[in-house]
Amino acid sequence: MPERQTAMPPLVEIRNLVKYYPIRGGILLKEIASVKAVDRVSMTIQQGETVGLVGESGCGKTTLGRAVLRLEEPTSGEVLFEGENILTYNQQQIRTLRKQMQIIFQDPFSSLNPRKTVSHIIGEPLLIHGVKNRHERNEKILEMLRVVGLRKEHMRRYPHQFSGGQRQRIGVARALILNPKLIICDEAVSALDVSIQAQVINLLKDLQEAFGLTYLFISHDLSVVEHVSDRVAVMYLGKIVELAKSKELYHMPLHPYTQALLSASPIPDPGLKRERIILKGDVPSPIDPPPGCHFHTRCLYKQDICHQAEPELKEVKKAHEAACFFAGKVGRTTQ
Amino acid sequence: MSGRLSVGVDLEVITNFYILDAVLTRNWAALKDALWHIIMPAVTLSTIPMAIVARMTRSSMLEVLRQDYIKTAKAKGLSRFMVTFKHALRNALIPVVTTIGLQFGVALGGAILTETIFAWPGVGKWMFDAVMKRDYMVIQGGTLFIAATFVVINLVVDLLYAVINPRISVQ
Amino acid sequence: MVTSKRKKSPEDRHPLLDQLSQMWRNKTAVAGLIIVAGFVLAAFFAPVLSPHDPVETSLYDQIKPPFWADGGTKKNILGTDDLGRDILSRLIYGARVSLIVAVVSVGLAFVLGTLLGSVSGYYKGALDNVIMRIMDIILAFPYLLLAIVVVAYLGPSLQNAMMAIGITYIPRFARIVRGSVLEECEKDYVMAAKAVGAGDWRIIFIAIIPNCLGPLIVQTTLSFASAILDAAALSFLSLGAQPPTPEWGAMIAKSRALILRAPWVMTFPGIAILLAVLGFNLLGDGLRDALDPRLRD
Repeated sequence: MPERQTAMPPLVEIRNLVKYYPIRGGILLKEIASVKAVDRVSMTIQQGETVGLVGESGCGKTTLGRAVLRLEEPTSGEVLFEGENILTYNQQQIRTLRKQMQIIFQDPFSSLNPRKTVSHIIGEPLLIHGVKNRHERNEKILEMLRVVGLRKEHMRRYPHQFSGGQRQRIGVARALILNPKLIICDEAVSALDVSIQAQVINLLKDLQEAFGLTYLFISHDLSVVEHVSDRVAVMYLGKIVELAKSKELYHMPLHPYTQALLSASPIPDPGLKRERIILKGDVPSPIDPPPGCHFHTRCLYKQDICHQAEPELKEVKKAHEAACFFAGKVGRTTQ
Repeated sequence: MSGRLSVGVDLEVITNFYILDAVLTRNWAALKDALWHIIMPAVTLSTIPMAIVARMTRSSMLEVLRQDYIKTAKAKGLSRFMVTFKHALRNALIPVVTTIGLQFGVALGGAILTETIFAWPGVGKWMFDAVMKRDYMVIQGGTLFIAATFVVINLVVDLLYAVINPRISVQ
Repeated sequence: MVTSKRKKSPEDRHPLLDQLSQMWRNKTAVAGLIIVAGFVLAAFFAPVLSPHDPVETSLYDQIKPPFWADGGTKKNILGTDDLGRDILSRLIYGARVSLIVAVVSVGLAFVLGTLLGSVSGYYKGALDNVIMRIMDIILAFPYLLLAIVVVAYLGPSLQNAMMAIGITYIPRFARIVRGSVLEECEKDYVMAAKAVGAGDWRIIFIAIIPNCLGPLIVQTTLSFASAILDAAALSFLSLGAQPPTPEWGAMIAKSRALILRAPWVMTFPGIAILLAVLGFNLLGDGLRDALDPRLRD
């Protein structure tokens, strides 16, 4: 693993990233409202680290991941990849950039084209990026199959002949074959059985060490994220509400939402009793998020200021950011 | 004039639609004759749509008869007839209505052939003659007329849809 | 796709082949396939199979009945028409004409329809709206009427008839492809192709279209049937094949005057059309059951 220095520029820096989905209506298809999927998110990802991104479904974590890759066009903001703003890139530059950043999808059944063989699926990125020689491609495909723990004879099979875990390995091989620096794991293990999850996670960790990969690990599963991540960001309604080192976040959550989220996740120790924080109500609609702090409608500690002003994500403690006026002052700060 | 009559059948012309005129003037001999002339073209033209509608109704009925509410109706002790024609057919007809609307298009196109064969003086034959004579004005007008008719029929079918299917209401 | 010469184990077959093999259990589909095969063979080997020249007239053999009827001879098995041409030979060559018409017109509709439909479904938005509204306009005219109008403007000939039929069939292909593409676009493999840097054309035609083939194959087969029927209708109205081309619809039209005196002249081409259309329809229905359970009606 490459050494991590604070002086080194981050691999990815996201600045004020916004993604709104317009809702059109009427005869002229005018924009009548918008879904604020990602709302002014800023964060950095250092070379070689794994950043976890957690949140309930619909909080915008998948959109954030895809916007970073420009699979979804962000509405505004900046994404700096190795210091360059990739949001200004044209289509051709973006395609070249794809060699550097890849994605692993959640659903191992729909993410592989059912009509293509495994060798086609894994080899296609090479073909697109100029490896026209068939033998050269096949060699790389074989190497990748070996790396992810599949066998040579799997090459000519079709996706429907594999189990979920094997399919996810194919997905990993496809993402890895271009030798990218950043891999976004979008719920990469969520659809798998727990035992298979462990296998795939271990594979991802091994690969990180072997190839010096950087992961953005998106998941709704807190325990998985804790296990794999160096740092964790918590998202709520399109915003990051807390960002800290994994250990610190899990042991000393500062934001009331993180506290509630952590209290809801089961702990594998029957002796340990923990008071659960039950959040009232539903997640508000991202079309019309509540004014002020987005979380105030469900927060146990809300004050008047929470309706009026929006808390910025700022460093509360060293390397521990939270977006709450009362971060660290309310709730249990230790779990 | 619309329709055909045998030579020697007298009919006082009011609307030029022979069947209607015969009824209006209570000329039963002419009515019989007019109907006699229309039956062959009508059968010819209706054969293909009939087959398509029958197939569509069959598969739709098979689908509906599998539903639980049919079992409920049977369990209530309703007669087979009631179950089949009142409960099942009404629901099975929903997709069939759309098909019937589309079949009008087939019939309107087929009318050109049928009218030519039976020498029936309709829009179809008129169009055909126009094509033969390269009378582009008539071709344009006739095409527009038939297309407009088809569109109106499909609009009516869509409205009918709302009547048959209470789940869809006209907004 | 792997086109290896090595023998593949059955489970390594392309998934489409797996589905196709289910068709063998369907008896009517197999019957359709046999009819279609016969039709195609007749079209290919017309010069070998037909006993006479299809356009050669013979003054002394006018209006001969089939060989089993009174006055029929073995020389003209299905008899002759009013110009003394051998009906069987004309039927066999007619298969060739019908097959060409079907292949060309459906091919045209397939290519343009797939192109328009996939572009429409992939890019969505305004382009989709424009394309689909144009398709709606074409659909607002009854098929045969539109074909007649196109031929009326282009002038009656077999080529123009093929083009006219092709144009009227574009919307059905466009709609099917658009629907499938819209559905496939939701799947992650499309996003994955984008993520590895594939261009739009590569995504549409290499990734998505192979997944839409099932309904397309079904539609193509069923369209063959209606194309044969429509071509016969146009030729019947003397807007398609011109004499002396041995076209089934034209044969019927020519022999209308003989219907009472020599009904066989008209009957045999009628039966030929019926069989060809029936064959393609049965095959199409069988393919639909095997490939596309959603489309079953």
